[in-house]
Amino acid sequence: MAKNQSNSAKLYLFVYNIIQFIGWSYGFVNVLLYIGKRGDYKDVWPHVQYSVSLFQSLQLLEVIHCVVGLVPSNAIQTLMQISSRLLVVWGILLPVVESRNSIGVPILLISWSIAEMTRYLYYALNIYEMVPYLLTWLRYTLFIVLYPIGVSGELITMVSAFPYIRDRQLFAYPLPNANISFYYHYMIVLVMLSYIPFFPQLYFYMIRQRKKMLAPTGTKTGHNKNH
Amino acid sequence: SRLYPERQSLRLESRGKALSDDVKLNTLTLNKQRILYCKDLGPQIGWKTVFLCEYFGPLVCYLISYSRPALLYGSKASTPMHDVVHLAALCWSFHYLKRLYETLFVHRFSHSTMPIMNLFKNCGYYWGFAFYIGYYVNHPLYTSPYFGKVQIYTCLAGFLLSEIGNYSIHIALRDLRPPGSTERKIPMPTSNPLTFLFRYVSCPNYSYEVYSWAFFTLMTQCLPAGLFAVAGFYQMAVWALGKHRNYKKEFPKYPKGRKAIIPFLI
Repeated sequence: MAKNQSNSAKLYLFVYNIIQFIGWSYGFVNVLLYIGKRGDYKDVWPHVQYSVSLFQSLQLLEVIHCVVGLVPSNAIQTLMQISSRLLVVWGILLPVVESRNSIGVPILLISWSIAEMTRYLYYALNIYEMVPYLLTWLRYTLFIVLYPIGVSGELITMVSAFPYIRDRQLFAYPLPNANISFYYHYMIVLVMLSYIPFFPQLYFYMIRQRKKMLAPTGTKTGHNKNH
Repeated sequence: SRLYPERQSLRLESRGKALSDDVKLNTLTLNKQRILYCKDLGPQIGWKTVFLCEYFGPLVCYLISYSRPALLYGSKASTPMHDVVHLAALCWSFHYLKRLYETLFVHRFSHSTMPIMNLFKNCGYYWGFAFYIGYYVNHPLYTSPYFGKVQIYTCLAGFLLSEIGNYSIHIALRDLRPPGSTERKIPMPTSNPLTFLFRYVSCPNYSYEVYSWAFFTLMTQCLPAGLFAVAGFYQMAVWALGKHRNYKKEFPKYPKGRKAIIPFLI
């Protein structure tokens, strides 16, 4: 984080992160209440779809934050991480109604919510260097379990949608035309395959970050914002 | 040891610029401890090897779909092919055979090797696009150009002219510095009329390449070919801008009106 950030920039980021924290907490609580009351995960998506769609799409702002230098991360990397989530929300759960009853849905909802709650609270407090060690620990430890679980939820949901996309030729653009064609179900396959190189890269990057951030060398908590 | 010379990058500072291969040790001003830093560039592979792989693959990948295998096209695989499909296959093959020829007999490489990961990246790009473009041009449902023969044959002429132009520039660049001499000269038009582009751009070889693919795209009216042309243009523009900058730095009298890749524009 640039040390010469203006106070208004800090305030803006703080408010943004808090808003995301509240948004994801709201979604998380609703998911738990729903499953607790019903004892079943089916039809959970309509109960949180508006807040999840909203706060997930709002994350696109973070790409802009990178571009204007408000935040030191790489804009393209951030965009790639967000786009897999956006694909699931707007490209799978919205158009393919049957996918909403997949077991992948509660899995991804819960892992996304917990991950985002810890991440955004961490970012918010980090702006004023007020992160309690427990939060740093959670932010850099929960991912070990949440990443694989969340990714599994996403993949399971995509797989459940696949036959419907293929049979309905959803978003398909066939020949003959300008001598190009697009089949959405093939794209989904490619996206799923792309998890093979990208997931380990991201996961081991976080593990290296964890070693750095939780190192017992007496660095004061929240001294260094590494995403 | 595994740190063969091509894998070593020697420099005076640990993060400094790599020293040129022909620098002599006794001309360097080393620091008090006489330290030279060596970076391991990773497994290397020869440039010629990389180019031969990169350029042979596209022939195979394109011609696979040209042979209309039932595996790709199912029962429609035996539908007749329009003339332009045959022309496209000829143009595509001609382009890459020309590149193979130039790699073997025309180009002179300043570095002998590159990191081996480049091989996979580059081959992925060339072979991938070759298969992608070929799939659609050779498809049974391929739609031939709207303006028919006029479009096909003008673009074919444009393509061939651009290919010859590109080759002329490669020859001119090679002849710019005869083997053995170390003189560096500003590239200028030669007796070959197609080298006139040097008056307007620093890298007319890239210009001609862009034109080739633009003509190929228009001749086949195939959007994937257009995507390939755009991707190639982007990469070559980046290279051309770098070369242009270097030329201007090196030659104070570098012609002012010249652009990097597209006359008058960029």
